[in-house]
Amino acid sequence: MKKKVTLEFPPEVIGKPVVNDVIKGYDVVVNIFKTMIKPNTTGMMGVEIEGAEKEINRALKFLKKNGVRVKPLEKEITKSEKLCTHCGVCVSVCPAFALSVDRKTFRVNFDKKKCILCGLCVDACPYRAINIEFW
Amino acid sequence: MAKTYADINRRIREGNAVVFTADEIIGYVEEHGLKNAAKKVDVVTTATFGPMCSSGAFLNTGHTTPRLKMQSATLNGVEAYAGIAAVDLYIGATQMREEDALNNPYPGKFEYGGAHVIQDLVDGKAVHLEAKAYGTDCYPSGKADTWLKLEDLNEAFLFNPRNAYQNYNVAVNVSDRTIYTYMGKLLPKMANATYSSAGQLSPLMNDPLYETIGIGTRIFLGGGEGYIAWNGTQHATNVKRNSRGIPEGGAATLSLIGDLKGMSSNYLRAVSFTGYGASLAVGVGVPIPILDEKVLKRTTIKDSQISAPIVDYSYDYPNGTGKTLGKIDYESLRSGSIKVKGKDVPTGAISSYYKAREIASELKARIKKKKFFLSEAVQKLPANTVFKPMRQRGASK
Repeated sequence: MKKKVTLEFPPEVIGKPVVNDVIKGYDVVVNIFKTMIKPNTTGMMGVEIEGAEKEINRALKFLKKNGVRVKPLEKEITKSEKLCTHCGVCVSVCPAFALSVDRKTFRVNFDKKKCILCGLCVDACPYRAINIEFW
Repeated sequence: MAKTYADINRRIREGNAVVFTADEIIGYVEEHGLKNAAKKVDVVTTATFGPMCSSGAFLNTGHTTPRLKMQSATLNGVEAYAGIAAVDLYIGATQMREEDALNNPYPGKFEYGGAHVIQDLVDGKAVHLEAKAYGTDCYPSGKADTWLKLEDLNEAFLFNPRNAYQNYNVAVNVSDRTIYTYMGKLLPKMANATYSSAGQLSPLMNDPLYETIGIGTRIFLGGGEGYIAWNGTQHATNVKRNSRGIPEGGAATLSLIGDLKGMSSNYLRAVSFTGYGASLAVGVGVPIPILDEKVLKRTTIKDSQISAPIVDYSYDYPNGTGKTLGKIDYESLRSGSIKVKGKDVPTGAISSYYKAREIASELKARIKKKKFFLSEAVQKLPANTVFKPMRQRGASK
């Protein structure tokens, strides 16, 4: 099976080669698709772990024991106010009504609470104002 | 009594001009009546903001020592047309970077094209010029490789062959797969519809028979000032019109010119249409002088009185069948949902009504602050034209 998770590395863990230990010590394949690790802050890494379910769970347990916070993968859609021109082309492809046009001001509003993270709007925006971020 | 351009400009100079935007004027005339309003109002400002592919800029880079006659040139890797004098270039909005993947894999992202070069220049960024030449006795140099900013160029002016379309199609997709078009991403089985006109705010909707907007009209262009240089390409006036003279589909177009040096990326913005290409979103504002009641009446046009044809972009548009799936007015389009062949279809605009309003208000503010004066057209736009398909001579299919 494959499992996508977000790994959070508190500053005190960043120096430890824990991911390397997982790769060497457990029968799993680790595919890293996004990382953000800076000195003295919590680092983030998006990984896909492939292997037998039991082995994946053992590997994740090892990471937790070593201070790594393991979270299910989260996606987030963001809309840049700087880039958005409020044309509204995104509104027509949004099945969840999370993107809508205010009929008075004609501004395009994005309601994160309604967003179902389908991502249909991302490549529909010609201004590249909408992005999907994985965390 | 009718007003003249001189009367209006005098009132602007005196700080007394009465100016409304094309959406504000509707309510004002309803309240005060056409006759009273025509006496009082001097100018109605119209505007539009949206991707207009037929756009680009002429640039003069200045000469190198020794001199160079560019045979080919790229700006940030995007080819600029060099087939004019030694150091004049034309950078077209839709030209892509030479190493761009285009539509392979499909749908391509089209992240950087000529429009992005133009926006980078407007934003004050340095762009990389690489030019090649064959060398002549008078222009011996073989190449140039440098970084140029807008301020370094002798001249840089936008010259857009076709902008501000008078009305446009509403696009849908009746096929079973998502398609990527210049009208945006169209979901299968008519799951969405896109449209692209500022409707009641749009310049040529407010002067549908080209009575004041013509060659030489001073306009707001990309945040700076510009002029209507000519009719646009594909300018077609012999089309079906409603009782108010409004075309029921694409009709007249404008060719616009203006100094890039006064423009801002708030009103001139590069866009990337997934699966289609790069384009330039252009902000255009056109003032209409209220010379008499007749001119004023035209500016009171409402979204509900303007309709556009609904066109299938999966088959009918690419194959030029000329078929439509009916027509729909802009009030309905702006409501967020329309009915097409009995189906409720959510709508989205390609042109920004929000930005169009902002531009109409900005132009109004400039006139009120005595920073913008009206010019009378030196020649009317052609009013007896058709848009022909390509004539195919030679080998048959």
